Amino acid sequence: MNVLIIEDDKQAAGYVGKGLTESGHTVSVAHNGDDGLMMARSGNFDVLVVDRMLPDSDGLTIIKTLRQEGTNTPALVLSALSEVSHRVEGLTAGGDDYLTKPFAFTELLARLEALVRRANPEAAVKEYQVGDLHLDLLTRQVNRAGNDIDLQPREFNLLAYLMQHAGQVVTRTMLLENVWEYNFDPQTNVVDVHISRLRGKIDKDYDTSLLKTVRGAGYMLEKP
Amino acid sequence: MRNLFRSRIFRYGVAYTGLFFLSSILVVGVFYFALFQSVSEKLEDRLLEEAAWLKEALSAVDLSQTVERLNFYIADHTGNPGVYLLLNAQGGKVAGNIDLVPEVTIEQGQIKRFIHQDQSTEVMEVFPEEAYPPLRLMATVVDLDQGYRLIVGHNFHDIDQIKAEVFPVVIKVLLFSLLMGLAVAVFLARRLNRRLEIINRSSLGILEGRLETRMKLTGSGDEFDHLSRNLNRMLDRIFYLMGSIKGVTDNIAHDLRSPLSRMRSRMEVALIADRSVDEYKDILADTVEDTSSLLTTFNALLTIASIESGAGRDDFQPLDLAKLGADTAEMYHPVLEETGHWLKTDFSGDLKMTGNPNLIIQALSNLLDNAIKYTDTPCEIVLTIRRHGTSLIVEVADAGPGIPAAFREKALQRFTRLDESRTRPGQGLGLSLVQVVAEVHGGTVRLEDAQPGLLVLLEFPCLDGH
Repeated sequence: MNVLIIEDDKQAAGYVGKGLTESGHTVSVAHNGDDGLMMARSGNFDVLVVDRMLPDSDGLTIIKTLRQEGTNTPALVLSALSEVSHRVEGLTAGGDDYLTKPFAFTELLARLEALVRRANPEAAVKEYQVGDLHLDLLTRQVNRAGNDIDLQPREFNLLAYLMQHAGQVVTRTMLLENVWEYNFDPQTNVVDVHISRLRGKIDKDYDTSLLKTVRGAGYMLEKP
Repeated sequence: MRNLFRSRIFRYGVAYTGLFFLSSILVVGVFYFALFQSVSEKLEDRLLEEAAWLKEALSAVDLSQTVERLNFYIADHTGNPGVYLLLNAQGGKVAGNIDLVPEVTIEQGQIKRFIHQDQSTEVMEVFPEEAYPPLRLMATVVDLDQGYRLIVGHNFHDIDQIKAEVFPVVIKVLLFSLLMGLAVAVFLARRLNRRLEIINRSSLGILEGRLETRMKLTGSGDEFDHLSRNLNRMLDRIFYLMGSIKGVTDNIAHDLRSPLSRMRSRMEVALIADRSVDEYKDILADTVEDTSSLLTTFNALLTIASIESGAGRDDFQPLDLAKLGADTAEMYHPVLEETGHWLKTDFSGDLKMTGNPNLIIQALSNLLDNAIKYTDTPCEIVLTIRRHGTSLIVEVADAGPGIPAAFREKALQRFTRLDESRTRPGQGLGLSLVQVVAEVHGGTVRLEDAQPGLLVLLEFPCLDGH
């Protein structure tokens, strides 16, 4: 994907840019709000990474301006403030996701990929298929290699989210936010335990595992 | 002395004294003039009465008898000497106790005041020495037959004399009250300044580093004692917080040093010899995991700080604690199964309130987490949510070792871990987070004995009836 980073901290922008480039993405960087706004207007980007606090303007103002002008490139707001209210403000201003500093690069990457995918929805999905694993959103049936798998409602939602983002890293925070719809940091990794139970149901009895742990990042459901 | 003039209390005292003095002058002045006004009116009335009486008495007889009667009258009134002068139509003296005819022309029924320069011996005999000379007269005239006129006068020397005696006394009294007022102002300023000085000196002591200094109380329970007591309380609180910040700093240093030194030695060891790419990858992945635990600690700190600053309040919304409780229980269900604990939930009554669901589920999850983490052997954990009056009460009880009463307050402090070795996982922030979540909702956290085990009571007030 083609990413524009609007961030005045050159070092931070450099690391993020390098990480994205090495993950196979194209990166442009703007170090101030004016340049950032000008570049973003060209509309050739799949996603924007916008720092909340820029020397010449507020990251949210840039996103608001773009939205008013009709540029709908999804954006991820980086904020040094961890206040929940600022998070919400970031979202209502037209930014599509947020991340508070300090953040893990893998979290940023995973969220950017999810944003881009969300911005380009596939036509009305009714079912997902990853390898021999099949999930039907309407009948809420799951089977692998022809064997029905019985899932709890939460496990079903968890698997559906993972399958929706098949081939992408999904972080624990993303799962909490999207499957449980809460935004908090559990001390024990509750998500890990749920994943391991899900794994027990979809992977345990089969030769190939589909649900992988990505160290230091999260999980990924992928065709073998 | 310069300090005295700068003293606010002294200035108020002086201003008050000045005002008091001015109002005294006004009151005394008004009284003084009113008094003499009424006295001289009385004297005038008496003079006119006497003149009227004389006119009647003298008109009843013929002129020869008039002189006789008048002389008799004058002789009879030596104790209360008045001035009487009977003149004939030409203005010459016929009878009377003064010789000189006043130059002032007076009509009958009219009163005039004038100074009469008469130094005849006759007059000197009639009037006491101190009243003479000159005579200060208040006089009127009585017209008699054949153009005869009788001048009747009273000496108002008496009033003047009273005035002369009273005036200095009034001035002295006024001056005395002024001096007394100033003295009281100085006294009050000195006394109050001394009380304030004690507080000032104690504050300076604290500034200079004698942190244990406290304001002395006189025990009188007055407003200075009240102020001192509150200042002392404030100082106690500040030093308690300073102490806990120091404790927090020590604990943070410990908690951050461990992963940092682990990372450093891992990387140092990695640099000693050449390794395969897979080995390097493993080392880096371990390092990433260590940093993410550091990030978790920082994020928890930032979260606590931002909740404390009230940020989460913007996201308050109506919510149902029963749903949050059930979600938490569901979320922890597999965790509990793994550890062998079993959870009993009991939600009763109307559990709707206004709050931030993310913060509350964070608190609930921390409480369940602690219950699991700090009970070594699997046991029952009970999560109760109930309504008590206008409050909602969340109780999490475990059957573990509990916390001794003496350590319960400490357990709520940031970065406190009751195992001194700090070997158990966690940042020691769990309960502090619960506490700030409670506070931002206007609630409280209490630790109690679950007999056996720990009972955490989280109370949320529902002021809006929800």
